Amino acid sequence: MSHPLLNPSQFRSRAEAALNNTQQRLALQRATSLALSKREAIKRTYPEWPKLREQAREIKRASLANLPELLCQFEREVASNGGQVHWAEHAADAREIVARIAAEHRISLIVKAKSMASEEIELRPDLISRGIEVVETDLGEYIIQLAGEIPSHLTAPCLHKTRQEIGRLFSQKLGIPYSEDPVELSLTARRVLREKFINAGMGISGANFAIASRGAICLVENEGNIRLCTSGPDVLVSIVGIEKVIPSLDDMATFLKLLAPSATGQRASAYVSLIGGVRRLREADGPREWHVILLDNGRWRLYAHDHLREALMCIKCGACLNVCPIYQKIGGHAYGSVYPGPIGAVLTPLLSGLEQSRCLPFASTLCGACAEICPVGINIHHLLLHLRSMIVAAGGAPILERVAMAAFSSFQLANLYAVSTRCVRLGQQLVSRRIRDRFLRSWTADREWPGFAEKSFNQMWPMLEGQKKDYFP
Amino acid sequence: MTSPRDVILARLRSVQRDSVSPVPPQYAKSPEKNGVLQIPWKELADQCAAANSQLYRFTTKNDLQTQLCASLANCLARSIYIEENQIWTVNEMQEFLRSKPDHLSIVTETDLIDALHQGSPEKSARRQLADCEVAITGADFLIVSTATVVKINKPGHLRLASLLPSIHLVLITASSILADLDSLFLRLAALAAMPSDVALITGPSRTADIEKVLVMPAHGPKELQIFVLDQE
Repeated sequence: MSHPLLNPSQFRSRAEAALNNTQQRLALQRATSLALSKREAIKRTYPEWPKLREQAREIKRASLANLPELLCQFEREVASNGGQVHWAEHAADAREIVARIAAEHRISLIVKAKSMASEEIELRPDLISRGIEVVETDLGEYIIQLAGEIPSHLTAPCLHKTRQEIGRLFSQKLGIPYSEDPVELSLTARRVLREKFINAGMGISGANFAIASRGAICLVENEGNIRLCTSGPDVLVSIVGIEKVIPSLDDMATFLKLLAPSATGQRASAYVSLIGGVRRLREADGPREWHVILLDNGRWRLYAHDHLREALMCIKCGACLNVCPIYQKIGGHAYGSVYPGPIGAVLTPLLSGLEQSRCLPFASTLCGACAEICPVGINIHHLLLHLRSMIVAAGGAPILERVAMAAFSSFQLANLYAVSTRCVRLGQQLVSRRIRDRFLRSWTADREWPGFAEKSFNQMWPMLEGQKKDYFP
Repeated sequence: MTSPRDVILARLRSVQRDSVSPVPPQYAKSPEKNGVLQIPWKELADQCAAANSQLYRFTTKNDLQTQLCASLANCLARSIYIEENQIWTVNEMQEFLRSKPDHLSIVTETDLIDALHQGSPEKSARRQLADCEVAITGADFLIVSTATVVKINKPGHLRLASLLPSIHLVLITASSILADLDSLFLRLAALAAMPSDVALITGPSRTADIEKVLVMPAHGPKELQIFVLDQE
């Protein structure tokens, strides 16, 4: 059963609740503005930034164009590095494969790296329900696991939580004295998780990139927990979305230069790992067995779509979340999806169904800040607009809007338009605000009614005639 | 019955449309500067400081050895892990570390492998490594533009050595310094075979998951010290 927070159809009520949550709004404001200013500072030291973006976009575009071939090449190369590739059509298939591997090795403890794909398929709760201890080892994810929530940001999972909340959570769940000192809380997690790393029989990771020519995956992080998950345990399982594959190692420099500044405002992340298969002869650590699960889970629906395919270029840096005026106010949980924010509003409807996610593409001002900041130049706001048209075409618009739009299309007759706007202009003077709001509640509940100007442009034009020179010198 | 592999690939192929040349266009990578890199020490030092690493430069092996022993004494290390590197073999290091006045317990990869072969569970080898306060390891490259230490995994080296001990001390020669990530990936792409693991390490382990407050360390070392031998 899905986590109760994973329900995009409750967007309205969740967003409303989030807007009234002062604590969370402070946390969001602090976190997003800090990430943006740090990114800006690093970006300034990269004069070639626009060129890097273009290169990254071109590599991703070419990778998607050749996706089936690259996946087959990746599969062959992984095998020659001693790994094994599994293909999973749906989330349940992927979960089944992981559970089977764990059962084969009689695994009782799994250490897990942060991975959006694993969140997407709700892997952890599934394995736990099969009696295996599974521990998230990224500090933010560990906090989220203790709290029984889902991440609220792509790279900063517990961005919505204050230190006091985390302090109470640790004291309650770990039975330690209350502290709200981030240093002490982090060191507590280090101590607890250290034992897990030493004793775990299996590690689970995602992948930031899958390199076809070398059968390798690339993982980017700051804490070192991913390296511990992939270096210690005898068995490693990596969940890789099919869109993650890129042609060669040559392409990595471009992505690494873009990723860390966009995600965390750093020049370089503390750890980048290129995992190239199982441990080789005479090597003393690293996995003896490596399973890579190539996950489709609805990605083909994006792939099949002319415009929306480009959403698969996403490298999950989270920059579009930080810069989005909507995300900044409501945070990640309101979206009811593993992938929140602007890019999430594009991915979710196609990954988990248009019907229940139809609110999401409308949760945007279409200002385009997301597209401007995107390190691979995805035209996110265009894609959102396109999704809106798909939803409307499928009959998803409210009745009032449909009537209004039908009426508007009859205004192609200029006189009809002039007459009706004159009526409205007159009407808004006669009708009280309260009565107006009763009729237009669905609009005015969340927004200011802009009102019609006293005179239309057409009416003003003749009067401006004399002053034209001032306006158009 | 069709396999999930066939289903997924067939579905992708049916809508692939604009299949382009099998090898996507290569970008003109910034050409490798000819000759030996004139090492911009100032920039390297700045980048190390920005990444919270400590950089030390030595012109003789003797100076390096003296500082190394001083560092170990400084952090009151009782148990350390060492591995072969560009400057010394394991035996050479054991030699001069043993001559230190205070008793230092030295763990090598061979010790840990022996522990494995004697049938003790692997986790006790992991614990032995976790009990070391300092790991002295080699590295393959050091990148100026990001202050990144690059370790290509090979027999005789342990991945966990750069993760479990509290202090990671890297020994490297100046000839292994590269300008930027492009130079690194050109070299990695030229390797005949993919190594089992390549680690790019920039500064100590860190987290900012609680209210964006930077905390070092997270799960790995709290200090990354880079010792460069720059002999004439």
